[in-house]
Amino acid sequence: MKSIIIKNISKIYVQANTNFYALKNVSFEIVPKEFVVLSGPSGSGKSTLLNIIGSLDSASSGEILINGEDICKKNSSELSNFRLHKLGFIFQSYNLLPVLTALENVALSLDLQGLPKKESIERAKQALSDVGLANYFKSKPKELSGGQQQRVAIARALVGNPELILADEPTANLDGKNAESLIAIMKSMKEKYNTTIIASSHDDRVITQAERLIKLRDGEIV
Amino acid sequence: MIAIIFKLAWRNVLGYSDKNKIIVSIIIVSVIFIQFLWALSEGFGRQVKTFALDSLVGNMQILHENAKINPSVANSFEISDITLNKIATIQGVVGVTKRVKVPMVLRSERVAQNAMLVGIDLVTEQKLSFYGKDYLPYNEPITYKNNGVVMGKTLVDDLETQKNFRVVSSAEDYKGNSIESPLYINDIYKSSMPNVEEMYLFQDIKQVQKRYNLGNKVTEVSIIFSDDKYTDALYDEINKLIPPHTKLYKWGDIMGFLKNWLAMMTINITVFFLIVFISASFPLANTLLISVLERTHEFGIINALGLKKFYIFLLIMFEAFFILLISISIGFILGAIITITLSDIGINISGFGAGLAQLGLGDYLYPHYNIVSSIIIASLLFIIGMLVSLYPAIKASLYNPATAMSKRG
Ligand SMILES: Nc1ncnc2c1ncn2[C@@H]1O[C@H](COP(=O)(O)OP(=O)(O)O)[C@@H](O)[C@H]1O
Ligand SMILES: [Mg+2]
Repeated sequence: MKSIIIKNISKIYVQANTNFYALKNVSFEIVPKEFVVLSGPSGSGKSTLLNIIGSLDSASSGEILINGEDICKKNSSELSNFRLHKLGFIFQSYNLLPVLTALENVALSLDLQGLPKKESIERAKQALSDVGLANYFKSKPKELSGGQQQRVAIARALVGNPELILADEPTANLDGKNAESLIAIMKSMKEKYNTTIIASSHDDRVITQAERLIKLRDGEIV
Repeated sequence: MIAIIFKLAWRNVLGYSDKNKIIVSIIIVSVIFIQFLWALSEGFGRQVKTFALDSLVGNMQILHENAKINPSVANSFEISDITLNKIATIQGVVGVTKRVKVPMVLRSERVAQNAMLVGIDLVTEQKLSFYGKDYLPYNEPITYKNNGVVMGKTLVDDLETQKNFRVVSSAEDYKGNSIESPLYINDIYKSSMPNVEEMYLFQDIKQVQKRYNLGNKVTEVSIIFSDDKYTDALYDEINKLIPPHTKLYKWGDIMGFLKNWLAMMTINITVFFLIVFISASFPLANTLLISVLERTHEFGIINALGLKKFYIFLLIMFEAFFILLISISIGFILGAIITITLSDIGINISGFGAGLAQLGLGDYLYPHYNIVSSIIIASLLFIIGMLVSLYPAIKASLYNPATAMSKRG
């Protein structure tokens, strides 16, 4: 990933006939291979911003230039492709597919990318082993603890070797010990895969690891 | 990509087996129910029609040209054996028989009653109608006296008489003279068709012709085909063969009310099934809609991972395809087993009383299983199911991933 430029992004929700700015003219740039943390209190717009950068949601105005291309101008099909090949997501609530095993959850993105079955299974096994889940290939999400599920989610986000990982409050549902090991895994994975990470968090353990901290309040950078 | 979607759909169907079991059960029950109802209505129509063709008229009748205005023996006619033979040998004709029908009043010591004496030719009648079959066991006793008849049980009861007793009959002969004659009840028949049992008594045709001075004349010739389709196809061919002053009637012309009634039944049944189909698809649509929208969050995840919306639509449609395929197949097979079993046993409808019996149904209703109808019903349900799935599939695939993922099932 050469560059990520966020320019004047606003997100307006209409609530009871009044415009509510979830994000207001947010602009910043991200240097590749950086570990950036968006911090701010609940409701400050962190998730909204990550969703817009990840093309999961659309901005009301502004531009997001990734490698010089404005993703706000792409159609739904192009954005799907963009997410499939360039992005990895980690969510607060893990968001694994309940009917698939850990291994299948991780392999799914590779399957969707069109990799041969054998290769995608091999890489998924490797990714799960990297996050310490070599013994849980066949487990369904509901058979795993929160910490384990989030590690499956990290393996899923990383397995396709994406240029950018977006992590929305990845430790919010984890206890102290699990949160710490998760941060450690994210950092070592970042070193191994050389990925850019943008995480949102109000967890100090995450914030202290940040190479750069962007603080949001009421939809604005402070 | 299609293969991945197909596999994922199958995994989802298995993975959500608890919820899907409910949907599958609803569909199985509807398929069985609709299939059975259809078989029942087909059986019903056939039974009524069979009754009409079998017991009253055959598929076609030759009658005197005035017989419909005045059905007395005066309006009788002669027909040669050569002609009868010619008709009998036409491809599709199963039986041809002559009859003499004499309307009469019967009197016992206490009661008088209208009745119809039917003179039948036992050999040809057997091939044609239940008259012959009911008559058959009494062939011997009937010939022992010239005036012996076989009478329906209900008629015997109505006359407050019994077997081997005598009743007095009054009827007109060919010339219009009134003939009074004793008739001996040689035997009593029971019929599955109550209105027949109430009205008809039988005797050998020769004795009837003799008593009413008819010579060789008959009042009707009845023709039956292996299939009712010949009724239209053979009309012209047979019409060329009939004697002068007679007319050839299709069964629908003679029993106009029945023909109209059957046509009305068909319309009613079709409308009824449309309603059944529509009302079956509402709960189905609703259940599918809920089960899909409950999982909007999940489809949002897959979309976020990079699966295009079109494939999400396809995924949901594949899931519907599997569910429909499984449930409709099971319903189809179970429905066939139930329907075929009941079509042998019959369903006792005697509780519904004389109304249905008047239509000639007897005490039992036999569903008629027809695999073609069942396949059509199953396919229709399948198509309706797929159409009904379109709405949730489109709806779930149109959310943007952030909105979809914010929805919790
Ligand atoms: N779909 C929505 N409709 C209306 N308001 C929303 C919607 N999503 C988020 N918001 C509002 O936008 C603001 C920012 O939300 P969010 O980005 O989730 O904050 P954070 O992740 O920092 O807690 C909040 O005030 C929230 O209520
Ligand atoms: Mg948030």
